[in-house]
Amino acid sequence: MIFAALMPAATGFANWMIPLMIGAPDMALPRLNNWGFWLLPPAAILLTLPFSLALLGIGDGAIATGWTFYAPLSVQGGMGVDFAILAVHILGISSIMGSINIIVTIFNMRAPGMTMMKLPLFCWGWLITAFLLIATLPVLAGAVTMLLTDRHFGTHFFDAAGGGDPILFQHLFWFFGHPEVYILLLPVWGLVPHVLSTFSRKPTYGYKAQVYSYWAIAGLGVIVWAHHMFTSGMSVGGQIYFMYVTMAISFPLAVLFFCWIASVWRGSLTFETPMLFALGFLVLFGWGGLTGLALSDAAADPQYHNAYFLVAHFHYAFYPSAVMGAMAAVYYWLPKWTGHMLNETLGKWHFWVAVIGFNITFIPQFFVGLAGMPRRIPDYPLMFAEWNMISSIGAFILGASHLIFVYNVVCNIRGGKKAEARAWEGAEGLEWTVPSPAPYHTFETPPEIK
Amino acid sequence: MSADKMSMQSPHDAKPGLDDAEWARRRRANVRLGLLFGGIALLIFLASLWKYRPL
Repeated sequence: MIFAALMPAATGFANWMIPLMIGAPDMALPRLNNWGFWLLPPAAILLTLPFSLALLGIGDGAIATGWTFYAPLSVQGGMGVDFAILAVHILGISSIMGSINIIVTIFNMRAPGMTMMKLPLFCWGWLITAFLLIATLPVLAGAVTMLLTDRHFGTHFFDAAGGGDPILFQHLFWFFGHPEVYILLLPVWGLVPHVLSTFSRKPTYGYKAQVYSYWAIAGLGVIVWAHHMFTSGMSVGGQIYFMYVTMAISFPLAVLFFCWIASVWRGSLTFETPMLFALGFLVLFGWGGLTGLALSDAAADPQYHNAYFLVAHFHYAFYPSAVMGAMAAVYYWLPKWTGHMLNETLGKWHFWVAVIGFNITFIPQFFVGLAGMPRRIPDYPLMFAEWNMISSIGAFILGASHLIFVYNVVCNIRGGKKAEARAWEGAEGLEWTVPSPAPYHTFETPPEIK
Repeated sequence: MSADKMSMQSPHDAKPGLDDAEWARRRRANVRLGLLFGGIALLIFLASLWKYRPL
């Protein structure tokens, strides 16, 4: 989900929109782009192949370690782990290619007059994301390479019996894994101000404060990784350090939140579908952020960490950001992509069914988590059965909501009311100056930015 | 829907562009910067292996 869905989706938005937003005809390195895209299908096939082969009686099934590949389980696991290691390498190469392309495009292809501090916030969010990817993905690649050599070439990086240390794997994984949170969230944090300001009909509040907050969050994000490991055992000094730097992230994040709230404050608000998703993100992600603050407390963390509380927190952070943010982006830019306005009624149904389904799914997980239901264990005591049933019903509602989305997008591609160049009344930015749908190689004569 | 109905496939704009020399200069600069960041990624990967190499 994270490697093969959320990351490529965010890269797709960048490829489509960054050239339009900075006044460039195309991405800087189109062949690299092509490679980055076409590496994704083989990686996805590699990830899922062991599962399919097991259905035919070949091998021992899909990777059974979760997305974290924790050693020693992953050292001892079946061939699914090898497939996943190769898939992660390929997905990593694809993401690094995308990141290089985005950095080069933003640095070298901006229209004359578009200084860095005039860059749209979506581009800023992606630029910093690209730096994070280049800094951290190679470390994950190193970790899974060591895992591969431990499995097949007699090394003992993560094998305590051979002098290695399984905790080392956790450190290497989370050195990538925590920045990965911001890799997935920063593009959305860059997008949301565009949507909020469009449907509030006023400029985004605190542009510079938002840019500096992105940098602060990214900088802090690479030095907090071991808060994922409070329950793995750590010195008191280590716990105190990782606790305080994690809590420090809440300062720039609060700056972002207040800027977003100020952006809609006293605006001429209308609630089209993209705005609903952006506001839904704001409210629900607030819960994800606040529960994260509770988890960052090293003293309280053992109560929450290996329980369903963490599962609920994670989904309150990721679903509103990576999924609802992506939905806000799709509904916002769809008229620019297809040349048709979307069906607002269906969009609103999608939003409300998704929000209701999401909350029915994950609010009960806070309750059962605090009551002691452990995560990653397939069975649970009978006392948790009712909340789990409610959670399952919510998950079906949430899943069904996306069928409305798919139907709406298909209808939109096939027809609908023609979209004007500026599809939304309050929209600002270069992408809204070109026809809808945008022709290929739009700004061959660069626009002048005043 | 047939492909020719999709107006996205319309590279019709034969506007005067930047001159070829300028685009060639930009392309070279793009490749140089791309190689720099690719090299940095490769170095980080090798450093992460080197740091924990078997003694």
